[in-house]
Amino acid sequence: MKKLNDLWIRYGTPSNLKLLYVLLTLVALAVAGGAPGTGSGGGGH
Amino acid sequence: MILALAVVLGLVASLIRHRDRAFRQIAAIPLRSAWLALVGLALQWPLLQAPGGSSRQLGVQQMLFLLSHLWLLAFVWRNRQLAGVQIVGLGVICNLLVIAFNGGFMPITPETLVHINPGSALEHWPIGIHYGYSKDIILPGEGTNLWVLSDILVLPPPFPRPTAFSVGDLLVAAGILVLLQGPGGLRKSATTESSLS
Repeated sequence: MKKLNDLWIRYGTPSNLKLLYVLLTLVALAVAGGAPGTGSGGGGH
Repeated sequence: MILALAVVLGLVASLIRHRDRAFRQIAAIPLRSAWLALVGLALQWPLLQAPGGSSRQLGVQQMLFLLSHLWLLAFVWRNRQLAGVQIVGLGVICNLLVIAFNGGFMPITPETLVHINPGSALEHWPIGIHYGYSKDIILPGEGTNLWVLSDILVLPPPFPRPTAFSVGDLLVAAGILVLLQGPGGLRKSATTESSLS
């Protein structure tokens, strides 16, 4: 837990969190908008 | 796969263009109402988790899927000042059109499914069945409205996982790639440069 706290203090800066927020939003937009595509192995009947 | 490709290409292009400022550029994208995109994805989740089978048993998932486009379009409208979002919006509209004209799912032909599932045969893919863990329904090419906007494109080898996608998907991926270049998109904006320094 201490290591996790250290990592948070080191990397959980406002600019890193903003970056994460933007990237998450873009991934959500891409997946919901359709860009993941349809992969093999989905199965039909 | 096409999403992963767009994100990787976008990040690489951003790193080449902006070098050590690439991540600051991405963090500086002024996205408004991001929760709209997240709600849009959450509403699609039940359909994306549904295994293959009769599409008639997916009434609720289908309704939520269609409804999700309202949130996506609202997000696009709120962020329409960004060039990348405009391209994404065009892709979403292309996908929504073909989905709306084909009973609420993205059509895919048995031939395309044979392409992305090597070793399978056409009879493995009965018409009218939901293709599992996707937004797709299996329809014949001649029975598909706006066929050109459906999942007709296939990502060829050497990509490890064969993937089918639509023109709309391609536009969404292109929009994400442009967005990852920062607030100015592909333009080298003086205001962006100064706002970050």
